[in-house]
Amino acid sequence: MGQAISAASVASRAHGHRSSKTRSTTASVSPMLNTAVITEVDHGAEAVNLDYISDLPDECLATVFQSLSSADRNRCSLVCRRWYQIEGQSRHRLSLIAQSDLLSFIPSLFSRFDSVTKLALKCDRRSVSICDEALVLISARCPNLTRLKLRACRELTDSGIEAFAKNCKSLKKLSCGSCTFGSKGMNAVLDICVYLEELSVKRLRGITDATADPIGPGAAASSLRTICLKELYNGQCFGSLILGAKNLRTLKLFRCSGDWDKLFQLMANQVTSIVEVHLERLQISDVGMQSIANYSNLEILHLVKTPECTDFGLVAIAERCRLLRKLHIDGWKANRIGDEGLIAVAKCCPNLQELVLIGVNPTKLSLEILASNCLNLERLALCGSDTVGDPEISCIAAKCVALKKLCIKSCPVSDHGMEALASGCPNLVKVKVKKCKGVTSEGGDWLRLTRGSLAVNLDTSENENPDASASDGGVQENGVEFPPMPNQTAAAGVSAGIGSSSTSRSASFKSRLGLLSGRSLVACTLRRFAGGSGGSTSARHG
Amino acid sequence: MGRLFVVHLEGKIYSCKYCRTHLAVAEDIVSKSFHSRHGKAYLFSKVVNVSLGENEDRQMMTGLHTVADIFCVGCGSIVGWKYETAHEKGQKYKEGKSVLERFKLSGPDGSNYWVSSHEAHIGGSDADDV
Repeated sequence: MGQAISAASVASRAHGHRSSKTRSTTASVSPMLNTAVITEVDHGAEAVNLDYISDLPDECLATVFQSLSSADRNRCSLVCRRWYQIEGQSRHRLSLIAQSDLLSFIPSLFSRFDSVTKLALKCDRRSVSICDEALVLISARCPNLTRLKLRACRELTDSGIEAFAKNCKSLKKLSCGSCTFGSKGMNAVLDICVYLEELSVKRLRGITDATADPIGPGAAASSLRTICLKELYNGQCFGSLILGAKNLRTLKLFRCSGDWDKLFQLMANQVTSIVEVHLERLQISDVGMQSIANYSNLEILHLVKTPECTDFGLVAIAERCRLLRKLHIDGWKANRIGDEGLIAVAKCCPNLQELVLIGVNPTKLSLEILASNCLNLERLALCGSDTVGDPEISCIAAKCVALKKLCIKSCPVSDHGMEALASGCPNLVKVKVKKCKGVTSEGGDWLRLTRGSLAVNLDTSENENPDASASDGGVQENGVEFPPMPNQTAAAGVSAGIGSSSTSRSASFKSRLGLLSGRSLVACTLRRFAGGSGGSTSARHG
Repeated sequence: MGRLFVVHLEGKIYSCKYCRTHLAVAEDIVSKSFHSRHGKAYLFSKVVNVSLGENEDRQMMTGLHTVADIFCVGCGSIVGWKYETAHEKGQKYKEGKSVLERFKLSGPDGSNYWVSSHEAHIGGSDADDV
């Protein structure tokens, strides 16, 4: 009887497989299964098919794999031939080390992974990258590619990029960093990949030459939603693309040389669908800001280290962009933006949900009005401000009704401010206090005791050397919105994800205190060795 | 603006006020009598860590010049301009040299220069002859 049952279960398993070579005799059943079947019989139970997965249709198995990480998928592909096949056929996202020796592996790689739609080809600065031939070969095998990410593929030229574009016409997102092709290749992509929605370019060396052709608009101009330019000499050559992108929603410009006021003036009447603008380390002044004020649908504005933007410009924007929801300002302690601008924002932008002020000195004057007028203000971060002290925190506590998350860093706040938080801000879920000399662990503990539901994340480690904290780091571009911190040490997480881990961290923070300050000390020293602002920036963008 | 490789200077250094990138040394000052929209400006024979903008013809107090704006590579802010060509004979000495606005600089002793209450007009900058 035992034999019959095991034969039956083997037979049904054999039907479940597509490419299985299992014969329906007990002899070919794997040892473990044999034991299991016998155990079942010993207990007199019904024979149960224990290899459930073999009964799963391939598509279901593929769905299971979708929930796994890349490393887990790699391990799964080693289990058996079926899993190898299905895992390969269902993998849509692939990241390859794009060195020159990749060429020989391309045929086999892409017969295994034949439905890749999102591809990353990453090389490093010291190695020779893939050449045009390899890219064309890959593109021929991934005709449905929707996203391509290139990093440091310096052997790729304009013609390679053009040939790639011809094979992958459904491309929606292109992100290239540290590549050396130029405007010819970029224009080819813009003309051929007409569904392109997102373009992100960092350090494109081929356009540095002053004779580089202007880029854009191209056939893709009207489908573009996001343009992101970082660290470009001659970023201005993208001007005609930006002006031609009539449906552009997001524009991000980070550390591109040149004077950008002119472009924004030109854009003022042409590109009005813009909802999100990020500007960092740019030469842009109030003139440019007044042009930005034309985007009446503007919801998100990041102004990071743009010292020529003053209150005047911010007032202009506030008065005309009334839908503003998220505002980040890193004033770089230049005091060009302060109470005056913030009061205008408070009065004109009732939808404000998120406000991050770094190196800006707001006083009770503006904070009061912000708190009373912006009834949707849920997230607030104040960093490196000399004027935010206990009275300001009390004011926030008393008036910010909707506030859920508060972050204070390097401000002259003390335990008294913590006390104010105990009784204010009824919706407060999380408080993070870092590098505020006046706040001690007692204050934090007291607050936790008094207000149990509040997650309090306190870091009372020593202040870093003020020079090093002078935020050369800038805003982290890791996609997490709130709140970005200047010069994050490795330990500092962004609050959005931390939630439950914060309390456990603070519990053992004393043991980590030494580790934290040691780490910050090392980071500090490294920055000095690397030589001032240049060193730290290149280390981060490396 | 590409991977940042910064030149480091020795001596009495003028650096960018915001990002502290070295821009020039005191020995290279040719003249302190220049003026820009933000007040005082110095003419330097040599300036480092800047990127050049496009050439423009500008009418200055001393005549027509072809200049290019210069931007700090660390933060992208405009710090002055460079004389490419001077169209008048007496101004030829300026060619190839750069003017840095004192307002944008942090001096060798760390001192900064603050603009006096008359706010600058938004327009071209003009230079004063020595």
